[in-house]
This record gives sequence, C-alpha cells and structure tokens, in this order.
Amino acid sequence: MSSAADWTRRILIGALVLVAGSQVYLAQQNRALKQRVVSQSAAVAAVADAHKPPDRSAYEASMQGQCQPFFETAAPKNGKRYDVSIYFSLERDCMSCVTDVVRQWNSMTGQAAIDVHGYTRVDGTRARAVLEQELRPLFPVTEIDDLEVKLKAMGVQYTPVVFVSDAATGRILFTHAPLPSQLGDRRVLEKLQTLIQPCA
Amino acid sequence: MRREIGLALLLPLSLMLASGCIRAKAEVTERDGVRVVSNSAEGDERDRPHERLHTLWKTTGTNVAGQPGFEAALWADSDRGGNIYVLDHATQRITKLDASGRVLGQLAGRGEKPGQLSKSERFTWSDGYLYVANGGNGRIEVLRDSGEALPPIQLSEVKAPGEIYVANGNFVVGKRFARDGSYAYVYTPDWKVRSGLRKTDPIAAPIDILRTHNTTCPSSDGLWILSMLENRIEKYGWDGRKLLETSRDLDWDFPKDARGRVLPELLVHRACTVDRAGNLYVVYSNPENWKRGNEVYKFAPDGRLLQKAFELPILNATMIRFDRDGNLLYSDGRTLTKASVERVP
Repeated sequence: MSSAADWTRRILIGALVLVAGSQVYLAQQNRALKQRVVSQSAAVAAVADAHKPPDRSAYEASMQGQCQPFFETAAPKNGKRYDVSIYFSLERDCMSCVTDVVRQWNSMTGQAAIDVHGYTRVDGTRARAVLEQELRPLFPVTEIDDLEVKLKAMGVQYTPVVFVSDAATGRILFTHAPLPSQLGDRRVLEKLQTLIQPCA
Repeated sequence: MRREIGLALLLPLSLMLASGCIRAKAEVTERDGVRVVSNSAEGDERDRPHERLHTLWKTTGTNVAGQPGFEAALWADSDRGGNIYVLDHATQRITKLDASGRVLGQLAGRGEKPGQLSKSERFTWSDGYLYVANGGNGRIEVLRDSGEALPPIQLSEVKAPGEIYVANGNFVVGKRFARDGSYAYVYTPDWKVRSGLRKTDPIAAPIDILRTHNTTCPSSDGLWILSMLENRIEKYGWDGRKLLETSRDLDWDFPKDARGRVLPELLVHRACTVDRAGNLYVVYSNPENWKRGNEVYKFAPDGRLLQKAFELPILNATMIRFDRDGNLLYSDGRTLTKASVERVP
C-alpha cells in the first residue's frame, strides 16, 4: 500500500518536473521567436527602404520654372522650339526604359519643333558598343563625364530623367515623359505652349 | 527521487534536440558524388579558441605624406618582393605600395585605350606582370609592374571578365554575372582554354541573372564559388568536377516569391579569401543591418564551417585577401589594413 502511494508521489513529482521543463523550453522558444520577429522587422524595413522610390514628383516640381541647369546653355537650334534633354545611365537603366522615353518624345517631333537629345556617361568599350548600336540610331547623345555623380550632387537620385525646356530661354517647362497612352498626343504640346514664360 | 527528477529533465532536453534547435555539428551527405555539407550557424569548432587580428599597419585614407588615398579599394595582390598593388574601383587606378604601406607609384586609370581600365574589380600579379580583368572594356589588360601596357587578351568564353587568378600554374577567369557558358574558365599560361567550371543554370526570368552574382576564391585543389545573394557556396576541382557544396544556417528573413524561392535582395556573402592551409574565410552581411559586413567565418577545405573566426574592425569590408606571407589585407574602400592572424590562446 505504501509502495503504491510512493509510486503515485513519484509520478506526480515527475509530471510536475516535466511540466516545469516544458514551460522553460516554451519560454526559451518564445524569447527566440520574439528576437526573430524583431530582426525580421529590421530586415524587412531595410529592404523596403532600399527599394522605396525617391519622391520623384516633389523633385520634378522643384525643377519646373528653373532655367536649363545641366551642362548646356540655352540656344535655339535650327528653329527648334523645345529642347528635350534625357539624362540616362548606361549602367543602371534598363535599355527599354531609355528607348521608350526617347520614342515617346520622338513621336512628338512631327507635330512641333522639338529637339530630343540624350546625355550619358560612357564607361568602357562594352558600354560604348551598346550606345552606338542601340541608342545613337534613335537620337543624338552627348557624353558627360561622371554624369551620375553630377546629377546626384544636383539632387537627382534616379534616371532616366527628362527635362523639356524652352529652347530660346532654357526655362524648364515640363519634367515628365508622356505616358505611353499619350504617344503623339497634341495636348502634351499644348500644355507646353501654356508654360512658356520668359526666363528671369 | 533524484533519478526521477533527472529523467524528467532529460525529456524536454531530448525534445529540444529532436526539434533541431540545437545542431552542434555539420551534417554531411553525398549526392551524385558531390559532398553536401549542411553547417550549423556557428560551426563545429565554435567553442574552440578563435582567431585574432594584430594590425601591422593601416593607411589613413588621406592622400598625404606618401599615404595612399583610396575612394573604393576593391582588390589587392602582392609580388614576390612584398610590394602590394591596390585597385581603386572608383578611379580604376592601381596603386603600388611597399611592404610597409608607403606609395611607390600608380598604374592604369579609367579609359578605353590600351592600358586603361573600366569597371575592373580584380587583377593578379604573376612574374612581373599584372593581369587585370578589364570588365568594362571586355578584355584582359596586361601591364608590366612599371605600368607599361602590353597587348591585351580577348577571350571568346568571357566577354566581360570579372575575376582573375593564377592557380596551379594556370589562369582562372570568372564572370561576376554568369548568363551562359560557365561561371569561370581555366586557361593555360599561353591562354588556351582548358576547362569551364560550373555550368550556368537556365535563366527563366530576368531576375535569375541576379542569382548568378558570384565571387570566387582559388585554393590548391579547386575554385570556391560563392553565390553573393544566396546562401550557397560550392567548390569545383580544376578539372571542372564539382567537389562539394556547403552553406551556413541563417536565421535571416529573406523575402520570398510566390513559389517560395528566396528573392535575392540582400547580399549574403561579401568577399572571401583562402589561407595557405586551404581554409576559406568568408565575410557575411549582417541581417540586422545589411549594409554592415564585417563578420568573418572560416570553413575547412572539406566544406565544414569551423567557427566565426573574427570580426574586422571596420563596418563594411570591400575585400579581404591573404598575401604571400600569410598576412591579411582588408579594406572598407577608404582604408587598407595589413594584419597578422593569431590564434587566441
């Protein structure tokens, strides 16, 4: 009889210790999980920040109305009324991103006196081959040393970037490429017309 | 009574072990003749004495009084006289230093002409010549260590050379992004191709090209290939045979696509080097701050992770490299440090 009571006591103590051990284990797992959640949040935030596009519209808005800021002074060429300057990177920009922008503006040249011109940095013979074969047939391109560095210093964090300016004064009128749905849309040019003002 | 308590405590412990939350040793299996090593997070020798760096000298990062001023030092190699050549990725110049770190001269520079470099990240010194993987110009640039340019070498297998080494008397040239062919090729001293190492996988989606982003490190028995964006390290013998693949347990939150595949957003491996005993040292990114990369883990020649060897006293390593004397050169881009590696007693 005493032996049965003894065994019952042993089983109860064993069960209690087992429960206590499991609790300790669970607490450890819970703590590890919490730490993991914290580190996950940090990593997710870092990834999100890395891929967050810069505030493009704010930057572009700040540029409108300024006079041609980059690398060339305003001078009407062959009676052209608008200068479309496309700054792009052969290293970072996808080729179709650049060619799409160029084609969009080229599609306007039949309707208005537009001069589409590209600016980029060429680093190495492989990049030069891409430029000569894929881009120069579409539009004239001027090479600028360390273009990305210079644009970054001016606050431009991304490319391709487009500045449409009044060829006579250099005033920036427009900073967007037309949407694909606006290909050849005369309203884009009419909007430009309304924006022309003398450059101070 | 004590025995019962001991037994009861053993049960949760065995549960913990069974659930895999404690894995002390690497698990080694074999698949198609290839050794597959699944390593624990901290390594088989995590409790044994670690290593310690003893700084021999460090450049100040300013271009004064014979001190080199680097913008983005990305690679270094040494000649038999102990001189050190350092490639600055930003300027594409190679600076020659003596063994104590003083500037002796400069070579090359950015450009497309013979002797000029573009997007170069690696070079190797061999018998008085510097062979530069001139990626942006699509050729191997050959320079005397005085700076004189010799006719460059064009390789049909590697259009944009990313890495170059001399190993086992041959040249090894690799691609940083391997779209087709092999990741690296072995060439004889007269530039005849001998073998391709690690064939590329089919690229189904444009993002897959990022998964081929790699860096390599040669050892006597083969080439380590580190996938920079994924948790995978492989070693190929010089005959092209895959010897092993290995990894380290990472408790990182990798973003995944709809198919559950890890999206290569974060750099896992930064740089690697191999010591004279054939051990591989790998700089890992830090999952809590992925811009930080200074923790160096050490793998045995057979792929077992031994331990976290040491932490570099810089925030973000752009390179680590053992020189011919077994000292470690490392850089954060601006500065270059030469250190000896000592085992902590």
